[in-house]
Amino acid sequence: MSEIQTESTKKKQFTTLLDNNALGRLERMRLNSVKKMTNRRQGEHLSGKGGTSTEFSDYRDYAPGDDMRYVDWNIFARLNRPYIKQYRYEEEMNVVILIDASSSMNQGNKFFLAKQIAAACGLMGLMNFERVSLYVSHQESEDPLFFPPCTGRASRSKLFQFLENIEGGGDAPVDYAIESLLKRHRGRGIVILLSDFLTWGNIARSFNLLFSAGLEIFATQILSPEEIDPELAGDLRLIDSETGGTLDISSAGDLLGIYQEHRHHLEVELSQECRRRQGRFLSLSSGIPVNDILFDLFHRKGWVR
Amino acid sequence: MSWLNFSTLANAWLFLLALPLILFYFLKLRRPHKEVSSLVLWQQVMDDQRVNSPFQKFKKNLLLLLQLLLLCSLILASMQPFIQASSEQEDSLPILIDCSASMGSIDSSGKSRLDVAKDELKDFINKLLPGQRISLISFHSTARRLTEFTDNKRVLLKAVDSLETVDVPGKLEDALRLCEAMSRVTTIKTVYLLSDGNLPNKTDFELPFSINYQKLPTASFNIGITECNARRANEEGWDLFIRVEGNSDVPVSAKVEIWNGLGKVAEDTVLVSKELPQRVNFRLNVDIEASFQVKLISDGKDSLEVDNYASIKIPKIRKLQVFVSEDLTGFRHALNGISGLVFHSEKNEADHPPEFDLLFTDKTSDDKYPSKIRFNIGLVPEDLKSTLNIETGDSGVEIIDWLRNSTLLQHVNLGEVISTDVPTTAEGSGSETYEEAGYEIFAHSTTGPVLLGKRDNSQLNYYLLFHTDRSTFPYRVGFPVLVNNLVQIAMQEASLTEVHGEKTGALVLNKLIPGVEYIVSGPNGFSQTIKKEEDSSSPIISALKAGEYRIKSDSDETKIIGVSLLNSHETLLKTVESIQFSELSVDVAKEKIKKDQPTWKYFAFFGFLFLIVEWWYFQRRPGRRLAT
Repeated sequence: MSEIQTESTKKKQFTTLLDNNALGRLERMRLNSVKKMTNRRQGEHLSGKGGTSTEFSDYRDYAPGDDMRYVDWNIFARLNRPYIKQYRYEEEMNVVILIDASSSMNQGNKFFLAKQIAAACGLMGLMNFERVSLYVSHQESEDPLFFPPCTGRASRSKLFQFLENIEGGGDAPVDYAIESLLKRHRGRGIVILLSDFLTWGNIARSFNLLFSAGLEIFATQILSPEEIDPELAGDLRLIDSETGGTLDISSAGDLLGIYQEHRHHLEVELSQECRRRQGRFLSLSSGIPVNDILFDLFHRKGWVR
Repeated sequence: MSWLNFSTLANAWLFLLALPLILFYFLKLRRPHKEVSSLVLWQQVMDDQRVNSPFQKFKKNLLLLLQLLLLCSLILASMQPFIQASSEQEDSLPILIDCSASMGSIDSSGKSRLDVAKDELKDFINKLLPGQRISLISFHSTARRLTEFTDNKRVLLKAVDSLETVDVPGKLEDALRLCEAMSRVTTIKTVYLLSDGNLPNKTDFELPFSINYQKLPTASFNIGITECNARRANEEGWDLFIRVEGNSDVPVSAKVEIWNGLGKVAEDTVLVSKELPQRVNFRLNVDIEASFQVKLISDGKDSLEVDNYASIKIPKIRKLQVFVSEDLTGFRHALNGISGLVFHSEKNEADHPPEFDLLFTDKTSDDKYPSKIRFNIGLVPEDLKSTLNIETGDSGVEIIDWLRNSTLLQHVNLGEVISTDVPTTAEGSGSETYEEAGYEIFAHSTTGPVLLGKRDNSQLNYYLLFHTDRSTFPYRVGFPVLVNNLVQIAMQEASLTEVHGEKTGALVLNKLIPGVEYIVSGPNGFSQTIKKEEDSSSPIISALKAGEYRIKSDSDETKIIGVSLLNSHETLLKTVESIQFSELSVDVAKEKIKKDQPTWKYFAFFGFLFLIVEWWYFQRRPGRRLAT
């Protein structure tokens, strides 16, 4: 009986990536951009500039030529001076999601978690009428898989379907994927990078390119528990899952301390690179439940509101 | 001390085992494959490690290094390494162990000198190196080889355990002669002497080897009886003299008790110090044979127990039994003036005692009469007949020299004695011929000896080599003096004037019936069966322990002889720092016996240590990680 119920409950799930409860909660959440980099097209995302939305922003002195309709007559009556009432300008914001689908992301639960976070962020963007586009870097020799910009609730199912169908196992490094993304993408907004950032390339250069393109960086490093806390001992031959390259190490137990130093250093470096460009950085373990990330960690870090 | 040496150097070949070890190590080094998401971090780790760790290559093969160290340690241990104590290793080393009475003296810790010596010996034996053999020789008044040259530690340790002190003074000669005999078949460079130093400071021996004289620490204070004599006081009693000596600087009081079979007879208290030995006199009114035991009870410490007891047997007071041949009227006249004598001659054989105390004869036929002292007049000993001949000359012979300080010739002037009997030594013979035959020349003329003496076991024989009837001797003043001296000697030999406490060592068993088997039992389970043969001298047993020796037979009553140490040198625990030998003197070694130090156990320990480290290194958990 319970199995039947479970089966029926499963069938009702909107997507295999996130349960319906989570989707419901996500629909009421919103990505919290710091720089408010928006397109000039009117949208629902409040830009930093003054505008004609209904949301009050500030007062300023009246200047000749100002639209008389925005004079606050109540204040004029009390102070006998004209003040112009200002409103926030709601513009459209691009939400670009880049998923690293290289082989390194296949380790542990990393790639699935990336897809879950992408689904969540994409949903938040769609439900807030942002222009959500998705790039999946797979093979270096091919262009990234592309989910064209779309907005609105109607695009939810297409987004989830796209995410459910993508597979990892590529060989394209994340820096290459960013460059490929920028070749196609136009528009300001935020870029959510979901990768382990284990690349031989220059990630700082890629971040510069993103910043120059008017994209605020939301970098999420996803590492598996085995990468965070490897249990290696003795003499080993390590094989790179992406390139197939090998590296012989001896007394692996002795090297773990140095490994942790370098992993920590990479984390700090990525964080600094993001902060320099007014972006955000978060390092996650693929062992953490996605709900904890979305509804707790993202809130605490100010990624969503 | 020199650097490390190896007893089994051939085992160095085992170092070749390192080659297969290295080979197998690298063959074994087929690394397990491990797929990681990316080598980015690991490559950085390796680059960093190469820069910061110059001993990376060393660390990479740490396991191999540990295995090589383990192998080396085990091989070195199997090579029997040792630190050589001296420049030359003694392959065959005799060790002389003093087992004399003084070695039984205990120190403040309650350990005897022999116990200390045993400890040192056991330590030495336990550190014996392969190829090194030792022979243990115990010595006291004589020497006994306990073991052949051997490296069998079990045999050696068993021999050491069997060592025990005997109650006799220590003498070194026999032990050294034993070593000399051993050196004829085995090369001996050095002999170790382990003693408390209570030895004679002079030893008549030419050393063919060097002696390492190891002197044990001396014991503390000791007090003991060093003399026990009795002298006849009158017809009914004896004076008993006890000499008590001690080595304390301050006077120590002690009680001297005299016991017989019925109980305590007398006692006295003495104060004894090193500078103040005491002589105690007791009057014993006994006219029968009686044994007395002397006990010394010290009020202070006393490190040697054996010298606190002495025993003396007082003989029955009787007259001297003198046999004078019928023809020797001159001697009979001379003897008549001396009281306390009973005369016998060939005539009244029925009244003869079993043994005479003194016998004067000029006939060989009187040899059938046993006597303690036999004075032969005009008779040549059988064994000297080829050397000595008594000729009759007209001019006679004059005595030119004699031993004036001997007991026999004390106050005897032989200067004007002329005899027509001329004792003449055969050509080619000299005084050494007599000495070799065991004779002592008391007087001699220009042609040869005129008075000889020889002790055959318990019998003392004197030979006057001219007949008094054919000389002027009976008419000289010296004649009765000589006879009187003989009587005095006979009195002493018969223990009628003076008796001494029997000392440990050789014990002569007098008055045994020939042909009868006796069982002699003594202290420490001593038991020996002896039988005196007809016409043989009195048997001698080796009484090495102080105490009572019981002589028992089926036909004769049990006799008891008390034997005591009675040795001042042993009691005073005198030690010598240097022993003078014939050509050189040997001082006490300044250093203790240097023992070669086997070090295999250290290498074995290091091997074990390397094994533990290797095990830990192989089995350890990954090191601590930084917090993420």
